Amino acid sequence: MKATDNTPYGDLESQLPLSPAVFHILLALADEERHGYGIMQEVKFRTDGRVRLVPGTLYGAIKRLLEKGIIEETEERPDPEMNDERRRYYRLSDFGLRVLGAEAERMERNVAQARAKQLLPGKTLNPTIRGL
Amino acid sequence: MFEKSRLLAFSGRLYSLLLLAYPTRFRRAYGREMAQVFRDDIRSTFQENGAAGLIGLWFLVMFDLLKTAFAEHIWEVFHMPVEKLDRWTGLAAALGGALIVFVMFFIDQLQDAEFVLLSVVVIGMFLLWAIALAGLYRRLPAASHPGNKVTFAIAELSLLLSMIGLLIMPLAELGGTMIFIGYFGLGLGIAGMGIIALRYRALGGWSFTPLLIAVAWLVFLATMISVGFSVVGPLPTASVMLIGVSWLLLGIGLWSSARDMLDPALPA
Repeated sequence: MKATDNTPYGDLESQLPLSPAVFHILLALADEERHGYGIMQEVKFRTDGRVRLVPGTLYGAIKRLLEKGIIEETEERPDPEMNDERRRYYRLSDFGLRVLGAEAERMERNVAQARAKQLLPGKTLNPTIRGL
Repeated sequence: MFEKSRLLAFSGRLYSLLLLAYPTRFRRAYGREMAQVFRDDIRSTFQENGAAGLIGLWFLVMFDLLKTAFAEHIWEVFHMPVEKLDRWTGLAAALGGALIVFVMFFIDQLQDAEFVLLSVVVIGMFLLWAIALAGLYRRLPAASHPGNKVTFAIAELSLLLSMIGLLIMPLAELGGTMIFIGYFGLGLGIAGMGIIALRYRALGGWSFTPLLIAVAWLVFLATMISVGFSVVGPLPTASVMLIGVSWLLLGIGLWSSARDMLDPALPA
């Protein structure tokens, strides 16, 4: 799948780069539907607390992602026993999955470039860079 | 235990109250969920880190609230229904015009006023004009046309330049030059928008008003150059009054044509 594919919501490239908050929200929804607090908890857990979402940022992002068709609300509940009718659940749309994939590829390319320059921890710096 | 539950309940209620800072539409869509998420968050934060964690979370939440509430209000303005936006921008234009007429009526008394006070009035007027120009830009039928974008950008950037010039004038001579360039740019930008508005009859019977502002503004600049940058005297006063009246007319045009100009007639 090319990152430049056109969709009803525009092409994938126009959605990139994603902000760190949006990237983590989408990543939280990559494996299952979650409600707002579930997204916050997942991001906090996965990043060891380094990324902390708060309600304003979270729901501002959710609003825009819904408008762009990147995520969608779902009636399905991952765990009916834990279901809370007051909460809304969100999931990645097909378009959202492709956006997230395109962003991951973009980041991977950047990391590969950093690796080529021997900038990653544990690597020896290029002598010319070290001399700077 | 009792203190803890009271503290958490108070925090939850306070946050629900603070949600009023968001635009109504956003609050209706997400307010209840945000309040719920916040309550869940403070409960777990308190369990993990106690009162210190709660204080830290409040700092984070307050900063987030200020930032995102402002962003949502800006978003609302740019996504406001055209008719509603026209009315607000029309009001801004009319207020900007009324303000300049008011200032000219009391110019003798204001001569002795503090520079800071006058600067605040003028910057307020410029902000109202900036809003009005955004409304006019939205009314131009082909708003995405490069020519429209360029003239709008020239006008708005010139207003910004003039405002910055006014702010730094007490500190640097550069301020005067910035104001001078800004004023000329504003005249040119509005003239461009005025020509487009007239050509496309963007405001129906009021389509002449932006060009009238441009003409009045250029007359004002010519007068300023000829009499030496003073707004005292019959000619400068008349030219400034003309500017005020033309902004007022644009405001009336934007306001009154809002209900029936959603589908402006385009030239063949």
